Amino acid sequence: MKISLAWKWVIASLLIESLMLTLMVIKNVDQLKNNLSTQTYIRLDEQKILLQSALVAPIAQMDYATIDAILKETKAISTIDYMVVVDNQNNCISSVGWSDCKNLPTVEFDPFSENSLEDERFDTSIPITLFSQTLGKVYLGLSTKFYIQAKEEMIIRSIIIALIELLLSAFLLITVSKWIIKNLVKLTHTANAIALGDYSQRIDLGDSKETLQLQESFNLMAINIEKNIENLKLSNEKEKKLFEKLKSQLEKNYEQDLLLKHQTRMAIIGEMLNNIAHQWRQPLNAITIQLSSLKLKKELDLLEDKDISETADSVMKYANYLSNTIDDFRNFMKVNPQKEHFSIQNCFNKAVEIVSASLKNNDINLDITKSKGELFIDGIMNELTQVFINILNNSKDILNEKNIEHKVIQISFYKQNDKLIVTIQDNAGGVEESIIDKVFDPYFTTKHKSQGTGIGLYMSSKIIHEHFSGEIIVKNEDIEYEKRVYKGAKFYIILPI
Amino acid sequence: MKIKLLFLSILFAINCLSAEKNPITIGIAPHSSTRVILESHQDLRLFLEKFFHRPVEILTAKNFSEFTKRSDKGTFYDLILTSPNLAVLAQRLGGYTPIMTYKKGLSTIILSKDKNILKKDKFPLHVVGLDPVSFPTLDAQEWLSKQGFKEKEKVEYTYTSATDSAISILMNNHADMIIMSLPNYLKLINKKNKALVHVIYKSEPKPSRIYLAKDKNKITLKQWQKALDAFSKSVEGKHHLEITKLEGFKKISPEDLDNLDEIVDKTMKRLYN
Repeated sequence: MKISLAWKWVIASLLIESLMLTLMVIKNVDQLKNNLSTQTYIRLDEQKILLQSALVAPIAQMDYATIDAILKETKAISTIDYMVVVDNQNNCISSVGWSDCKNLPTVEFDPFSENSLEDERFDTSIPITLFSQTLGKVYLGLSTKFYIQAKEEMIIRSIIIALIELLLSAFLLITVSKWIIKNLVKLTHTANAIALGDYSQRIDLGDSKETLQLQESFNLMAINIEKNIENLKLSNEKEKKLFEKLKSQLEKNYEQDLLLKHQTRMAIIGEMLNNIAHQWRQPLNAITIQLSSLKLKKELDLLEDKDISETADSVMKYANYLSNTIDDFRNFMKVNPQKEHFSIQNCFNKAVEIVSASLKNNDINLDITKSKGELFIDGIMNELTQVFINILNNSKDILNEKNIEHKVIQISFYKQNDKLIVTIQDNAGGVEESIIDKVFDPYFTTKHKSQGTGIGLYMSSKIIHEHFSGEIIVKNEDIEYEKRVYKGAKFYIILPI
Repeated sequence: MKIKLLFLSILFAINCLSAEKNPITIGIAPHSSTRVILESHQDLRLFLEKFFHRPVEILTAKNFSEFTKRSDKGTFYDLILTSPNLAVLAQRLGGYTPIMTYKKGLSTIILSKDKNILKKDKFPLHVVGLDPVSFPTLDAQEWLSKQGFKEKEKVEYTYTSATDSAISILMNNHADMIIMSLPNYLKLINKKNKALVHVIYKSEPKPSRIYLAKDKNKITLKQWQKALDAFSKSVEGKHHLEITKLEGFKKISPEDLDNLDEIVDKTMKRLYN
């Protein structure tokens, strides 16, 4: 069986009160005992003085009739049970209420000791002295009935008062608990309604000070909840819209990314085709010249078998060269390349092989400063090769555009702390300071539409940052070439080892 | 030597164990109230307790008649201190021997608030005496009789147990005259009251209160004589004299009381008739 909170409170309060009342009754009885004990001693002292005063002279005078009379008169005091006067030899002089003079009672020291309460009498004695002379002694029995009676009365009265108090308390506690619970029930119902979504619910707990405060606080809380739920709904709506927007933007970005990738690939392919074209031009020219020479010799009838054989060998040689060039480009354009541990200089050499023909056609010299030892790094080699190609092509384009007389691209490799650094600088005059921060942005280009897409450096930056966790920066710095100082853009590729 | 010491120790232990605890009783004539008597003889009690190594009790009686009857039986008191007429009776009837008295003689005093009380015509005069058998009372009555104030004609006697009570009676105008001894007059009446009262009669010094003892309660007469002699020379004895204003002690022999026959006869008549 579950006991309600109100009943628990009532029972606990009544138990505590009962305990307190019991303690109070015990304390009162104890206090009564102390008070009556003190009073008994005071009375005894008073009687001691009176008895001494009354008995000194008759004892000294041996006036036993007077002693008898005094004892009889004193015995009229209701609390005195008996009195026995003895001389210094314990001979009984007179007694009232005590028959056996030879067997005198044992003197007790506590008026409410067990013995005193058992025989309802406190046995004591009073010496009769004057000027330090002891004349005799009075044995005295004081009734303890008054204490027993007072104790019983006190206990009964206390129990009645305690019961009345407990009844009143119970009535008060039950009333108060019902009143409190009534409000709690109201609170529970309203809270349940709010929990179920009815935020318009408000509570009315009457007009007492405490409940009014609770009511105000609760209603304020309900209003705030309603407001917050409303705001939350609005926020949800906004968030939903934002999410939709974001989603569409992401889709758009994805598409753009795909487009960018496609464009990048196309740009690379374009670059490659351009490079292939440069690579093929010279052998194709040679083949054309040799075949033309062979044709001319035939028309002039100067053709010999040896010429055919030689020309065929030569054409075969060039055809092989062209075939090798295609293999090289195919390898470079491989899809899903694997990560590998590779030499950064070998990687650069590969890039140079691809763009060397183009550079040569444009009279651009490469000035390479190698590092002391081999520099190795982990990653996809072709991606870094692509970065080098992009920068070299960029330099080539700007050198041609600026029509620099002595064109040069200086490359250096070195290791600094835990980083590998590759610098590539041309002598084309540098990038305008106003746009130097935008060179790595997508679609940003200073070239003519036919030449640039604005994707090369953006892709290079992305590769260095995202695939090599490195950094690529560009600065305008002085460059010395053939004892002349130029200005040029210097790219720093910083790769963590 | 060791055996001797052991024997002595055993004797001493036996002596200690068998020490007399039965109290010595001193009977003092009720010339004052019981409290005054007990107070003024504490020095004697304490001295005798020390002297005999026994408890000492001072007892008195309701009145002289009762005291005399007890003294005369010879069984109540070990030591008696009483007036000369009663001392003679205690000697003759109780078997006590007079040992010591005070140097200052016992004069009888009659006091009144009215200086000319004896010249007044208003009779009978109410006179309060100590007891019919007390020495000052008998002496004063004899003098008044000689002055023509016969009992039941011009004077009427009532008696009180103690001198201090008689003083109160006089001061409260419940009596015309009171009779007392000179030592009580000196000791009990304060200066203020002395100024209010007049001495109507003062007798020639008569023998003072007398200490009497007998072989009783395991104390011999000789021991009593030694004890009282020692008391008379002790600090306690001096203090006692200061309180009682009785100047000094002197030894007394049975023969010294021989000239008191007349007053003794009167006493006997009053006691036993």
